[in-house]
Parts: sequence; C-alpha cells; structure tokens
Amino acid sequence: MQHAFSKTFRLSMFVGLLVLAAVGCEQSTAPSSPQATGKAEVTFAPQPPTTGECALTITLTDSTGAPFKDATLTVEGNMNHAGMKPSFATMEESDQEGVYTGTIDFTMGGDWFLLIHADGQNGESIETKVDVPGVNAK
Amino acid sequence: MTTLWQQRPTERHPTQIPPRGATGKRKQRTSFDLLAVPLLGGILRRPGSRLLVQIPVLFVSLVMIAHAFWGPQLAPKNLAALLTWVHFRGLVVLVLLLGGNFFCMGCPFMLPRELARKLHSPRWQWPKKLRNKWPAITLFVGVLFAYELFDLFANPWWTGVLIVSYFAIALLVDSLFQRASFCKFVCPIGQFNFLGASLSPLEVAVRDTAVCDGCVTKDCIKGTANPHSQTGLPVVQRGCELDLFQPRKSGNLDCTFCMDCVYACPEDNIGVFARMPGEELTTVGPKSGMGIIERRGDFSALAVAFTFGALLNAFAMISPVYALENSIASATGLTVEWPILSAIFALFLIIEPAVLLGVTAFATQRVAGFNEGITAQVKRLAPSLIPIGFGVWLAHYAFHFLTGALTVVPVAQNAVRQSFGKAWFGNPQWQLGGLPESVVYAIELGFLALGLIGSIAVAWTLLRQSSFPSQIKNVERVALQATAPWAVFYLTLFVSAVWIMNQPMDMRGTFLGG
Repeated sequence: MQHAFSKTFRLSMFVGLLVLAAVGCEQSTAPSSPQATGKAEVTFAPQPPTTGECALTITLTDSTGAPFKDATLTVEGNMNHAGMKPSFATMEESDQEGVYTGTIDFTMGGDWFLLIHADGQNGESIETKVDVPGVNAK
Repeated sequence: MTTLWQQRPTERHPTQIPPRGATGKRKQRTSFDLLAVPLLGGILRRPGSRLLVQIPVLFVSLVMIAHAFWGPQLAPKNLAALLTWVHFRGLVVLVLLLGGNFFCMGCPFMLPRELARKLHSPRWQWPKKLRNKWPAITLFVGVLFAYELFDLFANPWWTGVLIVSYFAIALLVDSLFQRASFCKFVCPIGQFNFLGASLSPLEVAVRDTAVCDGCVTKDCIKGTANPHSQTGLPVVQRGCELDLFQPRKSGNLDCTFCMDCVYACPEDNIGVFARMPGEELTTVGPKSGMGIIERRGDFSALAVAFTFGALLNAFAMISPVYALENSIASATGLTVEWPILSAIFALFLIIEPAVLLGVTAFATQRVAGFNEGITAQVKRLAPSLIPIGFGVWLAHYAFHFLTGALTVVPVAQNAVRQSFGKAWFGNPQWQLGGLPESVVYAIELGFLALGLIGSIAVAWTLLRQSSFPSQIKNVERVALQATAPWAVFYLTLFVSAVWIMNQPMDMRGTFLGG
C-alpha cells in the first residue's frame, strides 16, 4: 500500500512539474499585461461612468503622435476581479481621423479596465490597457 | 494529551458483543450510507481512495500556481484568481450544504506533508497552550483582512502567494508536530469547513455502537498495528489524527472526512450516514476531541468570527463600505487604508457582536429569569450563530459562483492557447457567464431564510434544555419567551444580510479614489 502510494505520488508530482513547466512558458508567448505601443485616450459620457450603457470616445495616436486612422478596433471591458463576463464595446470611427466612438455596457459598479486592440491598415497595431476605476453603481 | 478514549473504564474482546452497548444506549444507524452505495462505496472504503480526489485537486492547484506567477496578471483572465475566488469558494459551500466536508477530504495541502512524513517523522506534540481554536481564528480573520487590504480578488500574483503559503505552512506545521496539528489547530479553511459541515446532511459515524462496546483495539483512533509486532509498532494504518474517537464522536466538527477511521476499523463498523443537518448543534455535553464546546470561549469566538465575518465580507463588496472608509478618513485625517480597515474590522467583529450578543443575552435573562450569566449564556448559544452565518456565506459565494460558473471555460481555453500556442480547447468563448443575477437573487434569499430558520430553531432547542427554576410550570412557554430576544437578534442579522444582497455590487480595489 505504501509502495503504491509512493509510486502514485511521485507520478503525480512529475506530471505536476510538467504542467508547471508548460504553463510557466506562457509568458514567453504572450505578454501578461498589454504594453502600450501607441496611445489611446478614452473619455466617457457620463463622466465618471456609471453602470449601464455608457458612451465612450477613444482617440488613437501612433508612436509618432499622428492619428491612427482606419483601424479595426476591439475594446473589451473587464472588471478587475474574476468571475465576470467581459463586456465588448461596439466602435466606429468618427468624422475626425483617429477618433472612434461607441458604447459599452458596464454591468456592475466597481473597478473596470479596458483592453484596447487596434490594427491599422499598414500593419501597425496598438495594444493597451486603460484603467477605469470606480464605475458608480446606480 | 489525555483523550476520551484513554479514560474508558472497561474493554471487551471483539467477539463478546453484548446485545446492548456498555452504556446501555445501543445506537444502530439504518439511514442512507454513502459507503454502502455500489461501486462508489467500495472505492471509498479502500485505503488510499482519498488520493483519487487529492491528486486531481493537487494537479489543479499546480496549474493555478503556475498561472498565478506566469499567467496574465489580470484577474478575470487568470485561473488562480478565478478558481480560488469564484469556483473554489462557491463549490465549498455548496458541497457542504449538499454533502459533507469533501473538500477537506480532497485537500491537496496534505500530499506534500504525507511525503515529508515518509522521510521524517515529527517528534513534537502541538503546544498545550495552543490546543484550541485561537491560532485558526487569528489566521481566519487575517485572511479576511488581507483579502480586503491587498484586494486579493483582483490580484493573481498575491493569490498565488497565498496558495503557496498554505502548502508551506501545512508542510512546516505537520513536519514538526505530530498528528493533524495543522488541520485541527491552524487551518482557517478547515475551521470554516468544520462549522459549515455541522449543517451537512452526511456524517462519518459508527454503524452500531454495540460493536464498538466490544472493541479492545480502538483502531479507529489508535490506528492499526502491525499484527506481527510485539510492541504494536509500526502502525500500518493510522487512526483519527484529530482525536475523534468514533463511538463518542458527535457530528462533523473537527472531522476532515479523511476516512482513516473507516480504513482502520477492523469490524467495518463506520459509514458516512445521512442525518438531520444542524442537529449536532443542539447537542450539549462532552464531545470526543472537542470537549464541552458550550464552555469553550475559543469555539464561541470562532462562531462569532464565522458569522459576523460573513456579513463583513459581503458588506465589503458594496458602495457603503467606501462611504464608511471615507468618513473615517476625513474624521481622523488618515490617508492609509490599513488602520481604517482595522477599525472597521474591530467594529464589525468585536464591538458589534459584543453589543448585540450582550443585549440579547441580557434580555433573555430578564424574560426567562435565568440565573445563568451573560457570558455563559452566549457561550451556550454560540452554536446557534452558525446556521445564519453559513446562510450568508452561501448567499455570497453562491452569487459569485452561479453568476460566473462558466467563465472558467474561456479562461482555460485562453490559458491553453497562450501556453501551447494552439487552441486545443477551442478559441475562448468569452460570452459564457452564468445564471442571470435575478435568478441567483432568489436563491440567495432562500439560503438566507434557511439560515434564519436554522439559527432560531437551534437557539430554541438549546434554550428548552435550560434548567428553569422549579416553580415555573409552563416551561415550553417560558422557553419560547427566552427564545424571542434571540429570534429578534437573528432577524436583525437576516435583514442586514438581505439589505447587503440588495445593494448593487461595487468591487473596488482603490481606496479614497486613489
């Protein structure tokens, strides 16, 4: 019995170490937190934002400060704690170059963050995280 | 340490089983026995079967640790934060409600300890002064405090540190001290599970007490000795390491469902039986391995921390807590969080319980004409706190679990895709969530109502057992009158909990808008 326990235990520890090694490699393939490669300025209406549908305007500029126009934009809103479904914004570019408008549904009061990913026409992309602390509960 | 089984005056040979137990109160359980279920029962009765639960849980724990340190540092996308604060907590309370203490059974912290004990046997006894619940209460409150101060719910890295610390402390304590010192005296999750399991429908118990009355070997607590040894050593199957002697064990308090007693009993006289949830809270007198809990200040404090901690933990996720923090900050001029949070903890875990329990016991004293002092009455009624406390934990944790149960799917899909560069589990289905909040709200109210009914029922039963003055004729009526202040007290806790659950959630990791 003791021998069987030791064998099973050693096997499980070995498998566990393999898992640690495999999952531990994650950072090499994907950054743990997106780093800004351009710049994204976000404004909300109302300001400060409250729960429910909220209008947002995102102004994107590339690394040179020029407007980041004609981009395909994904905006994912998450609460800072686990267990909540993300909220995706629907965005469109406005008449002004590099300025995108849309709405996002803040489903709960508290701290949120937006993950903004924009792909430009010439292969450039912007990936950044914008904190939205203290969305007020209605 | 003297244990109850050592004090038994007589011993008989196993073959000399009398028709009734030596105590004259033979008890045979005929209710549902999990160990009698075909296949499952056979597996659970086999020594080492606990590993079938522990190894998968250890595997998941290692994945969580790895993801905590090397995965994305965004809590909603991290398996450590998600599984710890949403799934683990939710499943613990639901499994306790519907089954028993199966999370302690599957505890992965015990596996490194088992390995360490194969290399080195601990020599020390746990210090006598610490053979109580105070160390675990301190850690329980400490974890609640750290959870709020460091926003553990939003911090994968610190969640990983917490998990690793658990493994390390369990390993350290049980490498130095004999028996299950960590489980019995240190582990705050264990204490939570013990109290919650007092309301579980399953209990590890003796099948027929008459069989135990004839037992001389007491394997269920001493362990099974090597039959070829003159000295009884080495023990080839250990008995209960938490000092619960099965014939005198009462309920699930301090029971980890480890099944060591089941494996050790040579008569196959121990099962996992169905019983009335919460009934054990109404039994008074000595309990094996526990002593007389109604005289133990540490047990009362644990029940208070469990119940008021539930309210505080839920209160901390709604807007008014920030208003309270801000008002304390502006009144005192403090700009750092920990002293303000300490004041809130002192208010909710010491001052509020002391005032409410003191007033309630005083009112009962006056109504029923008890001679019993206020402190003694509070200690005696402390078990009645547990159902409402468990109801609040259930409502809170079930909310997070039921509204976010399926979020583990896209997070796991994302983790696999990022770890291996291939979407073996498919692309993340971020639209998956859980039940709508409106549905879960009704479930929360149900849990709170169950807790309220349970607490009042336990209080009433305990007060009926009181020694009323001999001149009182209508004891039932006086018992009801004595229960009234406790019913009002529990109704107050219930209304507070309903008010908290009615507030919109407001989970902030920032203090004073900083």
